Amino acid sequence: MASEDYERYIRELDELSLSALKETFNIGASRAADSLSRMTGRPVSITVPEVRVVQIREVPEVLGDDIKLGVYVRLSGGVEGHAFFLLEPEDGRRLFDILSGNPMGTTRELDELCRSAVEEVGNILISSFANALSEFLGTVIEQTPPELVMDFTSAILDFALADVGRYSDYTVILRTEMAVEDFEFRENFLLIPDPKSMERIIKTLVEGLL
Amino acid sequence: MREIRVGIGDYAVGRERGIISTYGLGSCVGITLYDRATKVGGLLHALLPEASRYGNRGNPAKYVDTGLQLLLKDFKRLGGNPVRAEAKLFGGAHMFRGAGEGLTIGRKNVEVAKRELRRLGIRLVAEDTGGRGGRTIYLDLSTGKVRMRKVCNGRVIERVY
Repeated sequence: MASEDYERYIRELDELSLSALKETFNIGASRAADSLSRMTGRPVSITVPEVRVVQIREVPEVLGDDIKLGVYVRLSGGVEGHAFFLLEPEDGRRLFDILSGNPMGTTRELDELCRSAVEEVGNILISSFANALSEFLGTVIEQTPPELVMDFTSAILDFALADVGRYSDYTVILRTEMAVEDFEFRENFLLIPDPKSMERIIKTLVEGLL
Repeated sequence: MREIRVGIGDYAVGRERGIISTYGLGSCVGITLYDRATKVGGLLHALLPEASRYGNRGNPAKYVDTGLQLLLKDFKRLGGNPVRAEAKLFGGAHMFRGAGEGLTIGRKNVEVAKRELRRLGIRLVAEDTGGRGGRTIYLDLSTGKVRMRKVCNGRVIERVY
């Protein structure tokens, strides 16, 4: 099976593959920004500043180990993998203020309403990414309903890392930067694809470039 | 106080002074060992249950069984005695309903941890496992006590084991 060598494969990803990935995810990100902008009626920008191959051991160091809000959607079908939208709890409240047109700082508690707004934003972002990816690959990607938790960052992610960890000590992480109007959010969109899907994604993208 | 932070699929040992911690155990398990007589302690943060199930691939400390062997080796090297050792077990949660196979990985990690401890003749004296929340743990090498932080309904709660 190809994933026998998955670790070597992702550790030796060349510039072309990494930039093809980044390019595709940037297109996904701008789609996501458009959807969010339509939903909120405000200008939204999302970019993917980095695609990194990191050791699973170092993930808590790379992403921080504080408590975050996390929206999770599992992808299956054409692409198997785990998608997360992670946000500082404080930014969750700010996001809700923006969405509901309140002055910044109005929302003090992460109540049910605020949590479901964050869940919906995460869902829109993840679906837009997934849809862009499915167009590129010409395949259908199924998605589970979004689930929101508030917990330690690595606790949110570790079952997905366990999935990749069966094949490799390394995983691919892509981070995004999001701004709504003038407010910047320290959020992360993370896609942790199944090794076989990852290989297929890269292969298709690179062939598309050549 | 000196704090050694253990990453995912990693372990550390120490004696008498300082803290060994690991952050955000979700489906992962954290196993601590402590020998009260020599004040030697150690902590493993394992991601997956058994190495052989996954072809012994990669870093052995990411598996409960081979990770525990590595931890025990260093524990003994510092003067820890497995017969006196007290083990405590944390983690093995399932965080999301839609996680597919991820639903069972936490439970398997806990099962294998208990089985391996039994096989090695190490007493399990405390555990806080399963459920839906993540856990952060701190092993105090001067006492063997483990402080655990957990997020519960949006608040952080603390317990000492």
